[in-house]
Amino acid sequence: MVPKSFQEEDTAEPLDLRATARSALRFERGFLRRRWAAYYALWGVTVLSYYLFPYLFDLTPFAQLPFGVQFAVDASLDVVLTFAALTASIRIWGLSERTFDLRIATEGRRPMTRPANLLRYLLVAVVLGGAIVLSTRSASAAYLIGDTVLAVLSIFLLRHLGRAFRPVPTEGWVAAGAYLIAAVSSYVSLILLRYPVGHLLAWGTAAVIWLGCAVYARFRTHDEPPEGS
Amino acid sequence: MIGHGPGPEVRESLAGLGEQFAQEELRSSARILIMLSLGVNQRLSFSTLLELTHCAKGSLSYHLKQLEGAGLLQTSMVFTFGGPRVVADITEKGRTQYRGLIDELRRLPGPGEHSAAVPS
Repeated sequence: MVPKSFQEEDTAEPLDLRATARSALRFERGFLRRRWAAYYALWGVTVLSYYLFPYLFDLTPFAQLPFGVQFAVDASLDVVLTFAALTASIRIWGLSERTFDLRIATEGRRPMTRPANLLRYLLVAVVLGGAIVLSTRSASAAYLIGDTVLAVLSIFLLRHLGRAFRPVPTEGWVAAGAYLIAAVSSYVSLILLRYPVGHLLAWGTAAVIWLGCAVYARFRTHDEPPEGS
Repeated sequence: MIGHGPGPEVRESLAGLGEQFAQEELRSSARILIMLSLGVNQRLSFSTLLELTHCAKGSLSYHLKQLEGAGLLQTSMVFTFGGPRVVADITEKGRTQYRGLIDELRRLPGPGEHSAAVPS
């Protein structure tokens, strides 16, 4: 619960600092959920743009244009959305780290672990993806590498959700769960069933769930459990 | 039996806090709250700060002026899809001040440590 009001000159006593930091954290939780809502929405739209937009274009007068123009517009849209989603990701991860720092300082603790390093995660993903492609010699190599990167990034996402929130809100679990399920079902579909459309279905469904999470997080920030409860 | 009183770490922490709160610009829990929140978010709009502090508009303007005067933040007008907005950005000096507050928070004795320092 945020204090009723902070008066103009209420001289802060030393022990007020921790109570004030707790107020900042309580506020931050609702604020951070709204920021994560934007993150889910942006990634949801970006993933849909990869898989769905080319088919949607076919239903519009856009389909009458030469193939080269269609391809250029679709690719530009993908690049712009990916850039926006990556920028939002870097910002939200930084914000989550700073919130984590404030929380553990409020508890009088020092960080025991270093912030997650994206490059390390990506390196693991590329090595794993390469190993899987070599072992399966699959024709869907690009999909497999992409799925490995996304699966490893899901661990990165879970780690940041855990650092940003205590407890992790409902939409965080749903978003991370949808992501993991999409990565696993995509693998199963490509490696075991050799069915590339399953890949599209898995990630398309995850993107729609992420859009739902964005709407939920944006409008359900009032029913918050207090920080640390 | 008389105890030893607060240990050197606790004394150092309280001295640090004393220094922080001796500064005019941090002699208000609203201003500390603004600095802690700005330290995390780097930039906040005036309306978000109103929501955070529950201050009246005039009070918030006063707090922001005090913090801006001390060089801890910078206010400016930005144009967004929702119209023009006043935003506050933390400055480099503000970041240093924020890190100081975080260090003090870490060193602040918890309730358990407090009672341990009380004479038995």
